[in-house]
Amino acid sequence: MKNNNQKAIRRLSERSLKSNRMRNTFAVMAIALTCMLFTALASMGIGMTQVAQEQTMREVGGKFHAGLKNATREQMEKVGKDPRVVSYTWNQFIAVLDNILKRSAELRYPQGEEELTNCFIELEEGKLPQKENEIVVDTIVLDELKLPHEVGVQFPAVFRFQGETVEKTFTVSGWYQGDRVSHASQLYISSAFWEKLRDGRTDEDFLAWGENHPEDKSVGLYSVGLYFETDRNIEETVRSVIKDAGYDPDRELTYGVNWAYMSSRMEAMDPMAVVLLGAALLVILVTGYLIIYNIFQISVIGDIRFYGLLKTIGATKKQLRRLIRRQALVLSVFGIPLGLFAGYFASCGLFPFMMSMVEHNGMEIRLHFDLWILVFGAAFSLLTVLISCHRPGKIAGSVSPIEAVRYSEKNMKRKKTKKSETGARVHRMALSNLGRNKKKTIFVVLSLSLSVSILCIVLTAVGSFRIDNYLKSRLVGDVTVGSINYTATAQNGLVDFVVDEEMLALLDEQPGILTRNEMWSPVYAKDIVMSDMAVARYQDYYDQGRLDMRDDYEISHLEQSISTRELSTDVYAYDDELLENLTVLKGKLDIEKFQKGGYILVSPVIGDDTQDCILYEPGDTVTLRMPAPDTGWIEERTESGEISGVTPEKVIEKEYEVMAVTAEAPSSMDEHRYSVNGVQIILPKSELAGARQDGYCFAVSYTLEEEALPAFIETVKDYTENINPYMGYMTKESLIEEFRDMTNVIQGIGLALGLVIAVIGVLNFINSILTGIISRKRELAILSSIGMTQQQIKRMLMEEGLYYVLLSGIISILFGSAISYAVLHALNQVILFFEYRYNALAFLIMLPFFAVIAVIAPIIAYQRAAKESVVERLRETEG
Amino acid sequence: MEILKTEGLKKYYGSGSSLVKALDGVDLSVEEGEFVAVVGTSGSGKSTLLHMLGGLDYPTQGKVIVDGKDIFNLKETELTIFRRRNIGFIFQSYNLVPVLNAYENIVLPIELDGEKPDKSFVREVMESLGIYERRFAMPNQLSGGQQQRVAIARALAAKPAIVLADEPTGNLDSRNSQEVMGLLKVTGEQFGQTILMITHNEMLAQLCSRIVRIEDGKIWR
Amino acid sequence: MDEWALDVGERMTEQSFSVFWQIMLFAAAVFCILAGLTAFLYYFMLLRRMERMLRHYQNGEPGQELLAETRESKLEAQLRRILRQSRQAQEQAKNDREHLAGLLSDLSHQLKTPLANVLMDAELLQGKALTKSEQEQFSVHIAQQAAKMQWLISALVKSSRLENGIVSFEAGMHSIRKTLAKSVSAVYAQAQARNIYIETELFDDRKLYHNVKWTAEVFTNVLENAVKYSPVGSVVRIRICPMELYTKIDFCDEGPGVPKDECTKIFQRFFRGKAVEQEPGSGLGLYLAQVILTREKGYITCTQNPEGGSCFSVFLLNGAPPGES
Repeated sequence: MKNNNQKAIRRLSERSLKSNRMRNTFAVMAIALTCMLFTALASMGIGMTQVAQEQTMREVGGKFHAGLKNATREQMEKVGKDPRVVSYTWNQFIAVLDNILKRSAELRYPQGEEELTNCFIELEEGKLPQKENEIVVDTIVLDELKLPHEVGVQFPAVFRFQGETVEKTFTVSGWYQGDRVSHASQLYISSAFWEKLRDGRTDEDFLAWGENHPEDKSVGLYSVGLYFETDRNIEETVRSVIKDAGYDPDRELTYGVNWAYMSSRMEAMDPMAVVLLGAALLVILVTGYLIIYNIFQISVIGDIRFYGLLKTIGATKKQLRRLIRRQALVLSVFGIPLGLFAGYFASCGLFPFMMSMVEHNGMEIRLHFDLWILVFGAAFSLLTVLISCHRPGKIAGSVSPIEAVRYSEKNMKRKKTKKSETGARVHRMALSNLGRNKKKTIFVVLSLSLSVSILCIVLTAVGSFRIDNYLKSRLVGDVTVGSINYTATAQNGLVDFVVDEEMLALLDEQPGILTRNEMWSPVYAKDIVMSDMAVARYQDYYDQGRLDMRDDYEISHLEQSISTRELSTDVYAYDDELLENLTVLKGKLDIEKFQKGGYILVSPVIGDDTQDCILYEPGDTVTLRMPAPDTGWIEERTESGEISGVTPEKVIEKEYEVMAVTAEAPSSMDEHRYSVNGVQIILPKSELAGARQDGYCFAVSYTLEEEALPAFIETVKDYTENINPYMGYMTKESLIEEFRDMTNVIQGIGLALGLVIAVIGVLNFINSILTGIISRKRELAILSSIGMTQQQIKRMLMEEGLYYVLLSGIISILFGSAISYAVLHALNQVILFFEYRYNALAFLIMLPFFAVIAVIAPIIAYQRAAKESVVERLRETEG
Repeated sequence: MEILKTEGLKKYYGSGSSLVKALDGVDLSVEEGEFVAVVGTSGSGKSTLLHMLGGLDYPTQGKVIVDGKDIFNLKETELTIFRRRNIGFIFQSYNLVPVLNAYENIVLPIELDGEKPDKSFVREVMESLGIYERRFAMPNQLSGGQQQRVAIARALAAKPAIVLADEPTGNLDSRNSQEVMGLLKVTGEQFGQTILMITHNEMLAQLCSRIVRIEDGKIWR
Repeated sequence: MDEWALDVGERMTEQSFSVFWQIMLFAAAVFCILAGLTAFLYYFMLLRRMERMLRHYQNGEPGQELLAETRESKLEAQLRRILRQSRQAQEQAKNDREHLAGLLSDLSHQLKTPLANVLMDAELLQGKALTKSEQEQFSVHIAQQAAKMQWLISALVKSSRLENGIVSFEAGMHSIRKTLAKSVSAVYAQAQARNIYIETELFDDRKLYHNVKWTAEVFTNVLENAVKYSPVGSVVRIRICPMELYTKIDFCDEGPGVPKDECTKIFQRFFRGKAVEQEPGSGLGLYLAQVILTREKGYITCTQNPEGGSCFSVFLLNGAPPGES
C-alpha cells in the first residue's frame, strides 16, 4: 500500500508557490496562452464541422436522419410504429408552381409546426394557414413576384394538379426567410384547401396516377422524415425498419439517407482545413511546451540547492518530481480557466475570419457553444503542462545530494589538459566557455537560428504578395460587371452566369462611358471533333505524360476523349478591344478579319505543364460539333428516374480555320471554369451573339472618363445591392480591398506565427544565459576573488552572448535565405499573385535584438549574483 | 551495540597522474550513544568520510554499515528512504528549507515519511535548544546560531540511528560555537542519541566522548 | 412477413434483454467475490509479514527491512526504531549496573590501601615496643587514613546518589555571585597559605539555574585543584561570560596545564593526570563536579589557558530547562 506521505510534499509545494510570485505569474500567463490557443483551435474546428454539417443539412432540406419517399399513409404509419423510429414528421407534396421561374417553388401540405422546424423553417411573421385561401411562403418567391414581405399580401399561384391547371390567389398567412442554399422554396397550404383540392382521392388514386404520369409520381403522397436514436448506421437502420414494416426498400417504399450524417465529420470538411488544423495543433503544442518548459527549467535550476537539501534529508526522486508537478497543476488551475475564457472570445472574433477563407456558400455563420470545446482546450493544455514539467521534474529528482550541497556547473566531459598559455585574455575565455558545453551551445545556436530563419521565411512570404499581378488577372477595364459567379473568387453553383439585361440597359445610359466590351459564352457545349493529326498529337502528349492525370476522373476523361475523338472546350467570344489582350503564340491575329467570321483561335491543351502542347497549327481546320439550332432534347435519367442530363437529338458540325494559336485568355476574361485536358477556343462574336445563336453575355467591361467613374460605380453598386444581388461588379478599388482582405489574414497569421517563434527563441536565449550564469556562480566568485574586476567579468559574459549571436546570425542568414528561396519560389507557380522577393527584414530585426539581449541579460543577471560579497558566494557554494 | 561501521572505505578521484585519494582505507566503528569527533585538517578527507557515512556519495571501494544495513547495497530510492528514517544531518550552512518555518523544518523528515511527529518530544527538543518561542519564525528571520539549533532539533526529532554533523559550528563565532557544542552534547546524552561530528577545531572536539583523528584519508591511532 | 413475426421479434428482444442483465449481475457478483478474496489475501500476507518480522527481532536477528514508499515499509521502520530504543534502554540498564559494579570495585580498590595501612598501624600499636611519640605518630596516621577513607566513601556515595537521583537535588534560579562567594571563601585559607591570589573579574550578578550548595562544591573542587597545582604566588582568575543559553564561568590558573589528550579523561573517576601524579589528590573532585553539573543541565570543559596553565569552564543554564519551573 502506498505510503501516505503526500502531506509533506503538498505543504512544500504550497510554500514554494507562495514564495515564487514572479515565476508564477509567468507560468500562469504561459499556460493561459497555450490554453487559449487550444480552445480557439477547438472551437473553430468544432464550429467548422457544425457549419459544414448544418450546411449540408440545409442543402438536403431537413434535420431528419432518413426520409421515406412517396409513401402512403399506411406505409408511413407502419414504419412509424417501429421502436427504432423515435419520431417522424411528414408533408404531402402537391405541385411545383409554374409562375415562379427563378426557383423551384414547391407547394406542400405540412404535418404541422414540427415539420417546418425540422426543415429549418421559422416563421418570421404570421402563422400556419388555417383558412382555405391561406398560404405560407418564403421571401425568395415574394421577391420574384415583387411582393412585400407582409402578412395579408395577395399571392397568386399557378400550378397543375392531376392534369388540370389551377390558378388561385392566396392570402399570405405567414412568411419566412428563404434559404438560398436549399434547392427549392417550400410553400404550405391549409388542410381545408388540401381537402378541397384532393376531392376525395385516396393514396391509391395518387399511386395509380403516378404510375401513368411519372413526372407526378410524388403528388399527393407523403414525404416522411424519420428520426432514429443515433445517427450511426442510418442506412442499415432505415432499410431494416422498412423491411420490418413489411415493404421492399428498393421497390415499394424507397428511402433516402440524409447525407449530412453520412459523410464522416472529417470528410464533410475541407481537407485543406483539416490539415491546417492538425498543423496548428502541433505548433501550439510545441510552442506551449517550449515556453512552459523554459519557465520551469529556469525555476528548477535556480532552486537546485533546495532540491539537493531535500534529497539529503530524505525526499525521493519521485517525491521531488511530484513536487514540481503539483506546482504546475496548481498553476494550471489558474491558467486554464483564464485561457478557456480568452480562447472562447478570441474564436468568436476569429471564426468569421476563418470561414471567409473557406467556401461556405453565403450562409449565416454563428459559433455555437459546445462543451467539447472546453474539454478539448482544458485537456490539451493540461497535457502540455504535464509534458513540460516532466523534464524539469526529472532534473530536480535526479539531483545528487552532494552536488547540490556544493553546486557548480557540470562539465559534460572532462577535457584533457589544455596546452595553451594565452587563455587569460577575456575574449579567449569567452570563446572557450562556449566550447565547454558543446551540447548546450549547439542547442542555443540552433534555436536562435531557427527562429530567425522562420521569421525570415514568414516575412519574405508576406512581402511577396504582388497586387499588380492580382489586379491584372482579375480585372479588365475600369469596371467590369457580371454575375457573382464571375466576380467572386468562389463559385456559387446555384446562380446563373447570364448578365442581367436590365442592369446593362441602366448602365449603358450612364454618362462618361468610353468603351464597352462584352464577353460571351455559349449555352451548349461545342466540342471539337479531332482530326487525325490532332488525335495523334494528343495521344503523343498523353504518352509523354504531360497531360493532367492526377486522378481516375481525369484519366478516364482523357481516354474517352481519345476514343471518341471529342475534345472538350471552353468557348468564348469577345468584343474587339478585349481580343487585344490575347497573347498570340503562333500565327498572326487580325482582329477585324477575325470578327468577320469563319475563323477560330485555339489554345494549347489546358493543364499544369502543357503550355506548348499544341494540337492545331495556324491554317488548320477545326471541326466543332454543336446542337442544331432547332433540335429537341432528350432527357437522360438515372435508374431511379431522376434527370441527370439532356442530350440534343440533332447535332451539326461546323468548320473553322485556325487563324492563330493563342495562350489562354487572362482569367479576367473567362468564367473561371476550365475543362480538364481540353482547349480554349475563341470564336468571332457573331457565332455566339445574335438572335439565332445560343450564346449569352456573361460580363461587360467598361472604361470611363475619370470624373464619371465614381458616379458610375455608385450606380452599379446600388443596383447590385438593392435590385439584383446576384449581380456583381469589380473595380480596381474593390479588388484591392479584396486582395488586402485576403492577404491580411495570411499576413496576420504569418506574423503571429513568426512572433510566437521569435518569442520562443528569445526566451530560450535568455534562459540559457541566465542558467549559465547561475550555475557558474562559484566559478565567477573565484574569478572575482583572484582579481578579475566586475567590469572584466561582465565583458566576458557579454562576449559569450555575442558569440552565440554571431554564430546564429551566420547560420540563419545562410540557411534562412536558402530555405525561404526554395520554399517560396515554388509558391510562385501555385499562387497567381505571388512573386518571390528577397526580404532581409527578419535579420535586421532579430539579430540586433538578440545582440542587445546578449549584452543586457548577463549584466542584469550578474548584477544580482554579485550583490553578495565574494566570500559569501564562495562559502555558499561549499558544503 | 555497534551502530555504525565502515570496512576498508576508499574514495579515489581522477586517475593516473591526477589521482586523488580522498579516503584510503578507513575502518571506523561507532557504538550507540557515543558522541564521536572526527578531527582533521582541511583536505584530510573528513568531509568525504562524512558524505560516505551518510550515503550522500558512493565510495570507490569498501562498505558502510548503519544499524546493521550495508547502505551501498541499496538502490538510490531505497538509500534515500533509509537516510530519511535513520540518519540525521547537520551541515555547516544552508541547513534549512527557506520556505518552511522552524517547526516545519524540524518535522520535515518525519513528515516526508508520512508519520505524525511526536509533538511532546519535539517540543521537549525545541525547548532544550531554546528555540521553542521562535518555532514559527522563517529561517531568514533567525540568527546563524538559531538556525544551527533548528538544524540540531531537526536531526534529533526523528530519533535516527545516528546524527552526522559536518562542522556544525564552522559558520559561527566562538561563543555560539561553544553553546552549540554544549547543546549537542547535553541533548545527545539526554535523548541517548549517537552523534558523529567532523571538525578541524580540536578544542571543541573535547566535549566529545571520543576523538578520532584523520589525516590524508587515513585514521591515525 | 406480418404482425406475428413482428410480435415474436419483440418478445425475443425482451427476453434477450433480461438475459443480458442476468449475465451482468452474475459477472458483478463474481467480481465482488474476487475482490473480496484478494483483499483478504493481501491482509493475510501483511499480517504474516509483520509476525515474521517480530519473530526475527525477538531472536535478535537484524532482519530484512524493506525500504520503499509503502505503509508496510514505514511500519517496519517504526518497529525497528522502537526495538532499537528498547535495546538502548536495556543497554543503558546494563551500563548502569556495570557502572555500579565498577563503583563498588573502585571503592574496594581505593579502600584497600588505607585499610591495609590502618590494620598495619593498629597491629603495630598493639605491639609493646613503641615510644610515646611513636604511638602518637601511628594514631595520627590511623586517624588520617580513616579520615581519608571516610572522605572517599562519602564522596563516592554522594556521587552515586547524585547519579541515581536518590538524593533530592533541587535546582532553581539563584544568584551566582552568592554561590561563587561561598566557594571562594571556602578555599581562601588554602590559597592564602600558598600565596595564591584569587582574582574575580568584575561582573553583574546573574540568576542562573543551579543548586547553590552542590554548585558551590563544584566551584570549590575546581578552585582547590587550581590552588593545589598552581605555583606559589600565581594568580587564579575567575571570569563570568554570559551567552545566549548558558553562562560560562572560567577558572584559569597558571599551573602546569592539562595536556591535550587528557582533557576529556580528567573528568573520569579516580583519574590522576601524569603531571600531578605526585601530588596528593583523590581523583574524584572533577568527576563529582561533572556529575553535579549534569544534574543541573550544565557542563564543564577544560582548555589550555593561552597565558599558560589551564582553564576550567563551567556552563550553567540562564533559565530553567523545560519541565522544571
